Amino acid sequence: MQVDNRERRLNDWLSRHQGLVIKVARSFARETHDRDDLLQEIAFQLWQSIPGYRSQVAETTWIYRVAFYTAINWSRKEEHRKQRNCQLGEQALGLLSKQVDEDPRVAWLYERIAELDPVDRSLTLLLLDGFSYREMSETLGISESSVGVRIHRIKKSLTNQLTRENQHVL
Amino acid sequence: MCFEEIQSIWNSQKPVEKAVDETALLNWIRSRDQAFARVVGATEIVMVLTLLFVAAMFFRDPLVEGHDRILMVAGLMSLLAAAFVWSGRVARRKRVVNYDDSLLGIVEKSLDAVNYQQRRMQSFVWWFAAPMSVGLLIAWWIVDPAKRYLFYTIFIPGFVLSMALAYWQIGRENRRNLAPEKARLEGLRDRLRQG
Repeated sequence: MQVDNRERRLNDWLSRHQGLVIKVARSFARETHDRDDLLQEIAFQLWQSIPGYRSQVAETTWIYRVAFYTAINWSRKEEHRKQRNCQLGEQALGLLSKQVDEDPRVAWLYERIAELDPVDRSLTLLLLDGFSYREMSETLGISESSVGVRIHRIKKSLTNQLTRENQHVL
Repeated sequence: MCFEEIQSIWNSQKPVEKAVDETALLNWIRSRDQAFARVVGATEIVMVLTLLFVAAMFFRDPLVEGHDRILMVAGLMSLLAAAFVWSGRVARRKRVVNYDDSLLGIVEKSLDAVNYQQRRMQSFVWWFAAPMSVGLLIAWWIVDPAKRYLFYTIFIPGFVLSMALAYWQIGRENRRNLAPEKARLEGLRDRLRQG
């Protein structure tokens, strides 16, 4: 695939699905610096994945797969990446131009999501973004019944935590 | 309290528009893509060139001088080892993660790739050692006995040292990168398979 086409595709994906990528980065990295780092890594993996992209797969499904796989791998490889970025003579770029959301409730929710197991974290993002059980099953490769069991557990956990938080505030 | 409140908090997020510096990101991706290709490619090319040089040394006497044709056996083995390293380079380039599959499928393919890489690395020492050993043995056998001391003082110790270094480096790479990567992928695969 020509480099120009690849860059056009990447720019197109980042323009239309930037929110999706940022949500994944926020869920897997708590600090702003780390989010920039993860965002760079996801964007790079999207770039690497473009030659293999087939239009039979929905773009959001493809981007979610890349983002989840990259994010789940990310924390262990963070040390190696910092060494490599030093070799390139660059630090994280400060890509996020502003804090994405100031609402404390949203920040609280992202913190709760970040505490989940990486697989449950991925499921939660898909659930909150309106994916069906079948779509979640196809994206992650687990059975729909397994999706249902995990979703039930996640909903119960998040709801209980929100209840405790509201009682604490009151 | 029900999950709908969680959902409404999520839905209350402002739409994200142009929050990312795309120009800076694309420039970074280009430079990283090139740097990655340079580092990995250079290592494999050095290995292949070394093996080709060793093969040329083994072929020199039989083809140019017309004697000690048995050294061609070692030369041929060196060429085969160079082909093995080159085929690994081609195979590695093809093993870029393909996201056609689900996350579990990607993890399983990545695990296969890591296992394959481990096997290749562990067998590399023997692929490299075998032609060199055969060559040394043949050379020791046919050389003027008065010059055999060179084998005991230079060639054999040099060979043993380079093989020991290669073995140590491969073991280190496996311990630091491949084995932890494999453990992590296996853990992720098991979590995905659990209910």
